[in-house]
Amino acid sequence: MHTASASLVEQRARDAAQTIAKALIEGADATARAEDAQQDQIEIDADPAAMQEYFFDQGWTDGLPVTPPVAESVAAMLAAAGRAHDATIGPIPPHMRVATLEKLAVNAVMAGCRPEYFPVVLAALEAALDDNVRLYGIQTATNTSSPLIIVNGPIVKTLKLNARGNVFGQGNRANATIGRALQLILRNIGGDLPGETDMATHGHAGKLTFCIAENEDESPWDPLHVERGFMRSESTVTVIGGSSPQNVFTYGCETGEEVLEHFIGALTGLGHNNIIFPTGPLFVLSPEHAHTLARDGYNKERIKQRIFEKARIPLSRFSKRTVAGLHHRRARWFAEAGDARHIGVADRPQDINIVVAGGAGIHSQFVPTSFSYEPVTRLIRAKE
Amino acid sequence: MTSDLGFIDPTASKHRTKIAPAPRSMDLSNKVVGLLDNTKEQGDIILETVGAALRERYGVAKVIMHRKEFFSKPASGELIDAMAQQVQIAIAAVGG
Amino acid sequence: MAGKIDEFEFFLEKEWSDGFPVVTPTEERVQWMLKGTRRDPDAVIGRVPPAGEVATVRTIAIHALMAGCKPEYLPVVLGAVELIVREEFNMGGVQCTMHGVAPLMIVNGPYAHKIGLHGGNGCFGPGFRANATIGRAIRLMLLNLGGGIPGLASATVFSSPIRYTACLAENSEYSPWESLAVSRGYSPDDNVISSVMVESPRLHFDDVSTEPERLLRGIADSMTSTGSWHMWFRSGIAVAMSPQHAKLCADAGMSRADTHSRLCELAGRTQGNLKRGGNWRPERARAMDADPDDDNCFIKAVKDPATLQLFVAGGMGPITAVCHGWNDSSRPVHAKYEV
Repeated sequence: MHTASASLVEQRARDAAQTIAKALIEGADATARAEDAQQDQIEIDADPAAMQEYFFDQGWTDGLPVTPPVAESVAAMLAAAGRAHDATIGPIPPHMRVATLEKLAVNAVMAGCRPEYFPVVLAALEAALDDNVRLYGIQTATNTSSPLIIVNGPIVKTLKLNARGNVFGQGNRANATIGRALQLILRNIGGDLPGETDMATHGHAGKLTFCIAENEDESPWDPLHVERGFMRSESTVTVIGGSSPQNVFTYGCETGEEVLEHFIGALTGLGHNNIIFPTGPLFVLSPEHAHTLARDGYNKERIKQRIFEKARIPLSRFSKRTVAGLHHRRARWFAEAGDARHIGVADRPQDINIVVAGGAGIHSQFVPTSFSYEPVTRLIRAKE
Repeated sequence: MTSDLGFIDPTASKHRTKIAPAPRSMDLSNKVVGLLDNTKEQGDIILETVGAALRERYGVAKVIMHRKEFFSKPASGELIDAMAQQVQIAIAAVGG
Repeated sequence: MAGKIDEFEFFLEKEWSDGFPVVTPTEERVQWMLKGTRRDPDAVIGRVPPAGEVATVRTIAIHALMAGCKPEYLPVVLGAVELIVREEFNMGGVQCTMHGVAPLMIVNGPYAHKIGLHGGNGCFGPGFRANATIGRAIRLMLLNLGGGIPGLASATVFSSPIRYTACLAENSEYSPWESLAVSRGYSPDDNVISSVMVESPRLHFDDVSTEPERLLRGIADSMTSTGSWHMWFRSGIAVAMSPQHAKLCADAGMSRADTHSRLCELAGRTQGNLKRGGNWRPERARAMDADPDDDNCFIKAVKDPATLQLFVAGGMGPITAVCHGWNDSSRPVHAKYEV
């Protein structure tokens, strides 16, 4: 345009004005979204077994059979979304694709979700995509990490999520399928495939599904979402990168002190992620442990403070190389904790996360966390 | 930076940082639009024409033009601050 | 579909790769590279524009390592980064420009010699580890930390081969004169880097002149063209005279300063000549205080003599390398660097 005549420049600019206005009104990626929104309809054999084989062959499953995402099921899922149907969510690592709500609904159907679960899935995906979760690292590392979803608020009861016995395990449709929907989205839209971009040495069961609810009724303290600034009456999801939970069995312990001592012991073994990563560890306490601790004068803050102070490993246990690496990876600990001879499991007490969930029993879970700078909590926008 | 790759990946994070665009759909009527001229030749004609079209066809209330000091230098902080105070939508001419 | 990552592919596929393999940065190697400096690895040297990522000593060491530097090169790289992020140098503008200029690093002083920075034959080209890797370390940072990547921030039409690497020393051994740094008032013992935004060298061949006036008129001619930016701005350019060309002037009694000012006097074209092609515009003429209608007006190539980087480099042979400049939103810079 340097050399064009002024009148030609004006002409071109007038033509361009429409494109510019469109970009302002609808967004620059409007064309890209339009392409994505085209329904990819495929015709396959109505025989259920053949359908399953087709999905397995395409690599669209997590190794388990999926619910075929037929048009009516997808429409029902979309209708429950609680947001505009042309919304998109993304980019989703590692291939950084942006997903239409429809594609997300397809995966939620495949996972086996009921339509009313869909808003939870969407909120969990949005939380997982927050920069603070560092999903790209979680999805591609050799480390064992998976985005853990923790659900809080009235929606737990409404959707009959499990917050009690066997909370990390099988049997509850909401827990199982919400967690699974997120994983299928990350696989089928994010494009994360073991051996290609997912370099996990071992992975863990949480990569099939990793979704729990907090047992707010049986907790003596504020639930996680209230701690993080939400109202008790609001329903939220919180996402953080987590490895396989380690069971802490407080055999023979009667006091809060003894229980905490066991927790600290679990934290001071070598090799767990909260030594290397500045992410704060997560504790999922059974109601029984929570009550014992509360009875003996512990609230969440005191527990965190105690863990912060006592769960420290002498640097003499590590090689020089490891210590040099820790100085880099846990720079904030070394700068702020004022303890040059040990490494702690959190940079600050407030980085430690505590949730109450589970059934009867003197067990709690130490969930080693990694990658995420901090957990991310999002409101669930459910359809009224 | 250090990961479990066995080596360090020093890729700068900012390349992946997505600055979320302002929410769409946006309504242009009655908005104030700022145009930033980078001083490349005839950039002012392009911007003025686009500005006029936005007023005439899309209901934009007002169009304000600003000029950078020089195309090779970033716009000064003062200029950006001034524009941010005055406008709701900004369009910059880039390139030549 | 093997589980192991190919480290070479990993980096070659990076958006910021310069297209060549890098030395894989491991913690051990970075610690090795950091031995090249006494500075605190966490010390912040600057932010690389336009993306503005922070370059700490450690970050710079990682890039130097990837580029193939030895630890003893690190002080030069650190000094170079400190220099190029200076506001007056407008590295951000160059990262984004259409014009493929690059910051040429001219390194003077004893340390350059010690680490093998080359200023003799072939000094602009491949074959000299210090030249190649110091320049490359800087470029990798401009790509990765600064985001100066085509399709991202960089709008160059062609870019330039000197955007792979652009670092050299003077040929102090065969130069008849004091170095560029000394001519600026530095001591011969000071370790100094000078930098200027320039295009790749054009090679002015003169195996005919036997006295300075003809030689310098020819070099001056190569300092001008109808498509050069520095004709229309008060910008820096670089002229590297071979020892042979420099000696021709020195033997005739010309000092470095004499040669410098004669080149500044001679280099230019009449406006009528410049109108015939290239980037003459009346506005540009007016900005240089030239009447656009005055065809006889002599437009100097170097408006401000201080911006001409004249130095002696290259091997035996009758060539002077001339690097044209950019615009004056970038001022040439120079500073001592710590070893």
